[in-house]
Amino acid sequence: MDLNISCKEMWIKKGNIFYLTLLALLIVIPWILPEFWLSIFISIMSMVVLTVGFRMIYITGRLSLGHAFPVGIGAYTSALIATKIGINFWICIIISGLMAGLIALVLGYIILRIGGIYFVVVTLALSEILIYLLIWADPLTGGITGIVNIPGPEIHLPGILKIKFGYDLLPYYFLIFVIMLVSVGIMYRLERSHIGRVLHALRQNDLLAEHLGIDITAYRVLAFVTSSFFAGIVGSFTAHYHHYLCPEDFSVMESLFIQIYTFIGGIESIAGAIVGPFVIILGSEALKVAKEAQPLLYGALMLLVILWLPGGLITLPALFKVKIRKR
Amino acid sequence: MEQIIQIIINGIVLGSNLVLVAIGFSLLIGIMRLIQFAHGEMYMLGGYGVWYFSVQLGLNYWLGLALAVFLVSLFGILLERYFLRQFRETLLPAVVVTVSWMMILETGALLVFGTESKSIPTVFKGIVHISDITISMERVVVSLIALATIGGVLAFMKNTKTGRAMRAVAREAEIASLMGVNIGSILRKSMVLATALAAAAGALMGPIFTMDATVGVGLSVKALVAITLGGMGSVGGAALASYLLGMIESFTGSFVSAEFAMLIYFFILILVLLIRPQGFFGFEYKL
Repeated sequence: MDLNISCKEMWIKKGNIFYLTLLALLIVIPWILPEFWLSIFISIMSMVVLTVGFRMIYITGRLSLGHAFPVGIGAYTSALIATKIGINFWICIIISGLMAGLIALVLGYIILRIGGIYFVVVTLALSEILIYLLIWADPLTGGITGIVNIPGPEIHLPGILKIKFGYDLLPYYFLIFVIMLVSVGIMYRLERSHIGRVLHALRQNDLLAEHLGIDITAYRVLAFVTSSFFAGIVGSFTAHYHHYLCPEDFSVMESLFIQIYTFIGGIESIAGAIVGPFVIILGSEALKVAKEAQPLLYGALMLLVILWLPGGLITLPALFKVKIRKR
Repeated sequence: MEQIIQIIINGIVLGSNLVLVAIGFSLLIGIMRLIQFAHGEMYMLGGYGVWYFSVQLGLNYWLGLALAVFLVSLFGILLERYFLRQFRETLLPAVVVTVSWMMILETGALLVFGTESKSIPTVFKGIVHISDITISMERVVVSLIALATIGGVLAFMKNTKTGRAMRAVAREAEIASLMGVNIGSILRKSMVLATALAAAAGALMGPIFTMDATVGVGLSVKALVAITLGGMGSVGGAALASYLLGMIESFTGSFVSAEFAMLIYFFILILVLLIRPQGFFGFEYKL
């Protein structure tokens, strides 16, 4: 018992160091790196929200191949109400998160009963349906060309402060930083709480969990709705940040990449899901020197990681430690 | 009336395009218990292979087809042995491996063959007239070849020892191995069969549709939908569902729009999964 507690405390300390360094780095980055890097870190941080959310569904024992679906719903909800009705960004972002969460709530109760490979196909089908609906509903959504001129957000406190988010990247950088902090923080707390233990139990043995009196579908829906809510918020952010969106942004490839980032980083811990996007997106930027051959190298490196580090990149330090101890 | 028949024939051709890929995909999901996202790339490689041998090197079309199928199957053996076998019965790791291969093959094809799509001159010239309906000869021949291949695969699965062993492994790999089935050999054989079918489909469809490097992803997704409808692991179900999808695509494509066809596709899929998750002919997999 004592041992357990001390191990846990040690882990938390180590984990804290990891998270704190990451946060410090992210705060310092705008001042030490040229502006070009900000756009990369913005996409990394929006991806982190998605990978942590995807992992949240994964720990309940369901593999979603449609995590781009709530992102798409959030993005289109926000873009439509901002351009057609002209609602303020800050209301848009909340509405789009709620919309994605609501749709996830309704769909979740239906589809989360299906398990395994069938859930993979259902979520894939859902995200494809969204894309073709968006293309088909041309007069409203602009069809395959999408929506242009989505207004950027604006902070306007009379007499105190006025920031208009134009094409300058810095405000967006801090906005997504805050979104990431809040959403990852909430999902982290959720997983460490009593609810999180139930969620983990669902993957390990949902039959046993059900016999213990746990409403397994309700808990799965909870995880699904939470992660979809944050995905919707990220979708809304992306729409207003790019000022433009089209259905292709939410294709199967996007969902596949969310899966890959999470897995390569390490699916067993939240830290892994955070490390994944950082390493892979920065790595693929570095690989851009290879021009057209970039995806090839990228694929080859992913193969290497999965063959030699099946636990993901997050297990790399532990691997070194074991080797040192052996000597 | 003529229009309807024309649409039906068109649907059969579209179904034939998918069916050989879907059968192989179904075998792989059934036997290896993983989603092989790089399966569509085998179709692409088959098409490019035939283009390379028959257009670039000037060989006979059939010789080119045989060579392409042979080489792609050889690649399939290596892929299965060194990259897929250890990820059997997993979902996420298998997705990462096969998507990596998908990216490698797609980019490789773009680098080697260039970005412009390739067309292969047709081998069967001429047009078939049946009263008022006109069909080009190559579509008839290709559809017939596809049908014959389905028949062949079905007979193979039903009557030969290897086919029976494959079905046994798909049902219950552990017990099949206790009964003396060599699992490794069955995995290899099923990969060869699936890959050869996909490559042959690419080689056959090359002259009808043009071939480009990005065709694989869409085809893999479509095949996944078809086999889920038909029942994972079931060859007949995959074939039936492919033709059904071809028909849906052809009918809605000519009466409403192509996007609407895809919408109907996926709605049917979700309905089927909710009512009968194992598909038309499948049995339930625990994966």
